[in-house]
Amino acid sequence: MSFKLKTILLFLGISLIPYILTMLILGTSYYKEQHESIIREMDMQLHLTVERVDQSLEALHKDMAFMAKSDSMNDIYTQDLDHRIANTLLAKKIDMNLVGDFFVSDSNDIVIASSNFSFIGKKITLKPFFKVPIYSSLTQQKIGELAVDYPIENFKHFFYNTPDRQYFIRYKEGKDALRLANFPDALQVVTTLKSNPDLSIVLEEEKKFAFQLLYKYERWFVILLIAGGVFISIAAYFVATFLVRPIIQLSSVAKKVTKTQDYTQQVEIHRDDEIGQLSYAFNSMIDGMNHALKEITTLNQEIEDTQREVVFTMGSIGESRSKETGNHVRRVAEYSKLLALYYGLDEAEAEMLRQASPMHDIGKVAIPDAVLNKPGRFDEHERRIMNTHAALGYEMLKHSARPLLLMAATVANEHHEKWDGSGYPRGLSGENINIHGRITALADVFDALGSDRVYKKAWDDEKIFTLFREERGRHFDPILVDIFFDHLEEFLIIRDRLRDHEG
Amino acid sequence: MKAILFLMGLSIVLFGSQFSVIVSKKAPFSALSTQQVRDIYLLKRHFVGDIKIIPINLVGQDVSRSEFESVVLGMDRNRLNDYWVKQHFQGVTPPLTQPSFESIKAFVQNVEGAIGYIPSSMVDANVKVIYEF
Repeated sequence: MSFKLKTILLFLGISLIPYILTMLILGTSYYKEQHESIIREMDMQLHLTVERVDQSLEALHKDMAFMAKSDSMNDIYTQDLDHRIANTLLAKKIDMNLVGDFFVSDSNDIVIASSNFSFIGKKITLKPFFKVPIYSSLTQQKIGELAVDYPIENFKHFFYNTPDRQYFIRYKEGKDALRLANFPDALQVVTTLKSNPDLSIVLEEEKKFAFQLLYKYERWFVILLIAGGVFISIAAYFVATFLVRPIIQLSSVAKKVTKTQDYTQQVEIHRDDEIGQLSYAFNSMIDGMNHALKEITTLNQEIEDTQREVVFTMGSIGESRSKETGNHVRRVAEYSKLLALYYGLDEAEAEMLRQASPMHDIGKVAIPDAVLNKPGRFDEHERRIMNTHAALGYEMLKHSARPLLLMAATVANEHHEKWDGSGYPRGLSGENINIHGRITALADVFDALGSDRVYKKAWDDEKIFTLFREERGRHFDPILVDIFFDHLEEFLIIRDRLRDHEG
Repeated sequence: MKAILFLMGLSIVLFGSQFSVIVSKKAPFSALSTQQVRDIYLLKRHFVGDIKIIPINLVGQDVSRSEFESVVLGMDRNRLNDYWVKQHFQGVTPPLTQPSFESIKAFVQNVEGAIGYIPSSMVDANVKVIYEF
């Protein structure tokens, strides 16, 4: 897990979790409160309706009591011959818009008068909703009862029902009446009628409708919660990025320094805090490394220069003994490097060969001056002595552990071998001769032929080239000869640049 | 109109009394004087013996009622109205009314102490005639 990720998670942990917790607690309590207030509101509505119903029933009861006291009730004595009571009851029924009927019965429960005339004279059978006794205004005796059959339908006009909300009646035994719809998931509040404890009125609301607003709030709450969460996450991301940026910058500079090895690079962070101090320290460290490295490079250069100088000087020693001009080794070195590069060796090896090839004749220091500097041709004995210089050079250098000196040893040993195997000291042929030896052989011969020697005069170029063409595949590696002719111009330029000075 | 009145007068002369004042058969008295009937109907007298008397009038302006008022009570409509207005302020309201002779008869039959008037032709064994006019 990256530092950035950790920082982001830390921020989320200390901000998002409390945020969500707070929101949830607030939301839940708000939800509860709303829930309660909806129930309370329903209760209130139901209460109002029940009050209305109660008032109306009470009014009915009072009206009946009033009717029971009227003088015309004395017609019970006459069996209501003239339908005076019945007419009063009918008028009342029509006036009240009552669904049921009023009944006046005598003490034998025989209906004397009713708003429904067909009941007159029959025995009362149904259970009345209300009944009030009738006392004669003449005798103060109870002469009958006024009853009303108040069918449940009468409650209908108190109830304002909608598809989502309905009122209905519930009997004491739990049976429901006037229930229009069955809501699958509904809220219910119940209140018992004061005027008739056997009946309760139920207000039922479908939850979907009742909590409509609440559900809407809930949806907004969720949206708000998510939006807040997203905002906090984004903020956390940016804050973390801002915090981590200098660290990433530091690490990227460090990586770049490692990759490019350029120790002059600096981190561009200017701050007063710990990060600033860290960058300052980092910059100083890189600076220090840069200085140290420079010193090491300088020292290394010094060593390499010295080494090259020594090798060159050693080569020159051989040259000086044979009174050959000092520029011979230099030219051979340059030719060798050029050949090596064109032959396909890499720059480092070619450069090493340039430094090693000057030592090809180091063995000559062990050859007696009489032989070495003898003018004219060698006899057989002298030739043999002379030819030992290759092996001698190898013997001198082979003990070194340094690659340069080992290469020089090889060059010294093999620069007189020939492609066809007729060379010395070992008579190697073709690819068995080290490429360094083959290159140096060609370079040495080319320069030797073009220079004066104690035993000969310098050849002109045509003669040299002719010889080279003849010796291609015999003395010299054919590829090297081809390279030589292909890039002749460059060799001649080197020769001109390092020309021997007369005298 | 005159002819009708004449006919009515004639009929009274010819057939004797036309209306009977009746009470329940169970009533312990059998005859009342004009003065007694008058006092009962003007609500000046409430009892005859131990019986509480409930006078019943016929509703409206039927001939029988005006006849009863003029003959028995000896008052015409205006005087009677004045009388009841006066009584009203003392808390006395006129007697009960019944809309028909049948109902008067039924009422009297059923209520002890009730007293009403019906045509003599309607009288039967269920009621007792105590006065005629």
